[in-house]
Amino acid sequence: MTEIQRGFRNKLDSYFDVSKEIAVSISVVGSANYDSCCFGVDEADKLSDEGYMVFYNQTASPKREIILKGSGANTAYSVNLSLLPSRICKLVFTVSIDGDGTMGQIQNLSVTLSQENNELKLNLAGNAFHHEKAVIAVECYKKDVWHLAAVASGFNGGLLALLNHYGGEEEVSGEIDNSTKEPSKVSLEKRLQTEAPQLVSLAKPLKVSLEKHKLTETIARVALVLDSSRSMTGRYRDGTVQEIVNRTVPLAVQFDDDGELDLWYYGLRAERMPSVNTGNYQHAVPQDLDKLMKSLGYGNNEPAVMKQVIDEYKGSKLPAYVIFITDGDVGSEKDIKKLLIDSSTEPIFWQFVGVGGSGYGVLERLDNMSGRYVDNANFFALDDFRRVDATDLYSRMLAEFPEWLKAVKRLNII
Amino acid sequence: MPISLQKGQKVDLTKGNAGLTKIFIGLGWDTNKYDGGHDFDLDASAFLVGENGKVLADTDFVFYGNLKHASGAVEHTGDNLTGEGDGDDEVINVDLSKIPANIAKIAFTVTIYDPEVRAQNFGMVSNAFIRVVNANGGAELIRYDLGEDYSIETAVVVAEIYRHGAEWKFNAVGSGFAGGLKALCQNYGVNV
Repeated sequence: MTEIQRGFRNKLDSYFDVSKEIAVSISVVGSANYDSCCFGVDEADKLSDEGYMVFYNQTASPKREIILKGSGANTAYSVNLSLLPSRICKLVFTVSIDGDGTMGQIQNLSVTLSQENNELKLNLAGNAFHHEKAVIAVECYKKDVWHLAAVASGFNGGLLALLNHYGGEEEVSGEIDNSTKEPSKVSLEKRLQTEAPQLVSLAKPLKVSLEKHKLTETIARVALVLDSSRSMTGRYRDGTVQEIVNRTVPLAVQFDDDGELDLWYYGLRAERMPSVNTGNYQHAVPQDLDKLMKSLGYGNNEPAVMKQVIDEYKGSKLPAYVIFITDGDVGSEKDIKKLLIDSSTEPIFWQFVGVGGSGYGVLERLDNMSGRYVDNANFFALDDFRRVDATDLYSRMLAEFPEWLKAVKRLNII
Repeated sequence: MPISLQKGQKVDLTKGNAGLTKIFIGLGWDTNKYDGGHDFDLDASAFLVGENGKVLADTDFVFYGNLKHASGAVEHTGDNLTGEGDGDDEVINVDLSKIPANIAKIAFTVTIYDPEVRAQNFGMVSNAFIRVVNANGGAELIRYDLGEDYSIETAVVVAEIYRHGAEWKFNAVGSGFAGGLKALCQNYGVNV
């Protein structure tokens, strides 16, 4: 066995017969949830063929040159470099953390490449890392011949940062797609391209999150609730609210049975608005803001709009994913709690998003709230919605929805 | 068109470049594209050595702590602490006409500052290069891209210029060493 250290590079044929299978195993000892992924990238360092992203959702590459065995903290790959198409120039073996924790908190990361009796081993303790949530453990790259680089470095942003890093920005022309994708759903990207081309750049980030959270096949109703209290005026004028609509529409297109986003505004009173779709989303924010605010009453009465939303989806056969935008100053703790508890037996998931405000009250204590049948709500706050990267945003918006979905299915709520 | 060299290649520097006296040596590199870890601080240095491959005095070692050689022939233009940006990260000016006669060779090196503490090595450095530019007019004469052939070394002798009769030649050395700047100093006979 040869111990290698971070930064090590050498030709692989010094150790192995690269025309045969090499086993790459990656083990993490730690208390978080670990995922491993192998990206087969092209000369430009891009994942131009998604078939060469091997992970728990796709456990082998197209010709089985890369096969994933095991998962989570103990992952192994079987790799035959000589069978890879020539355009795949590098295999990047990564480890990422799903949920809380950083690589700095692990006890140990070990990566072993082996073939028969030959073994190369990289062993690192947590103190080799800091706040990374995703690291490139090793890379096999082709430069004349295949080399190994013990990178052992990464990104604070997790798997999504890796996907961003390797994301095949360049659209892959026809040849690969379509056939392997689910035939029932027209691809989100194509729908946006034809129906709302301004939003097409959101398709990829959303897709990444959907795949990550295993939501690609999910059908749900999607609702958007917008705070129209007076303190939101700035967010309407600076385009934040329109941006919220823009980024929510693709979710509705993806999840919704009819591609429509159900929309509510609330001040002191709540009002259901015409549903939003790819055709009218640019008009979802009223021109005459003052009139809207005045008609709904200056204030923020969350319980009023929550009641309307609950009435709409109560007993529905489809789950409802409700994005609830507020800029804070949330009062009515008792009423909100009661509505959350009452609706926890309904197929309604509340994703509260704070935008540029403060005083989110009970929303900030959702995780410790008891009395609910299932945990049916999540909250996060953003200082400036417009400046949040779409991938990051979708990742946060969809963070707890999948677990809730699993729970309500198990409990026969849907 | 500059001459692009491979590791180990030697070419004429002054021959064919009549009147060439003032040159500058530009060295560049890219470091960590990843989060976490320490910042990289790479340092370029020059060792002015005699026939025996050793410095004649400790001051023949030109680096961030001794920016100018007594002869005025070699001057380091200063330390770049991050290696950010394209182009030369550090520049060393050389006036061939002022190099003392007892100096047979000048080695240009790049070392990683504080490599043990920062747990860094040249396996983490990419796109390193050295180029020789005619200071008079700015024409690039020679370029050597080191490639990503380095591993856990912490010092690289990038290239040398050396006397060949009355002319100067350039050698694309590209050799990596463990032990950082200290090892190089010992190699060239600098007391540290």
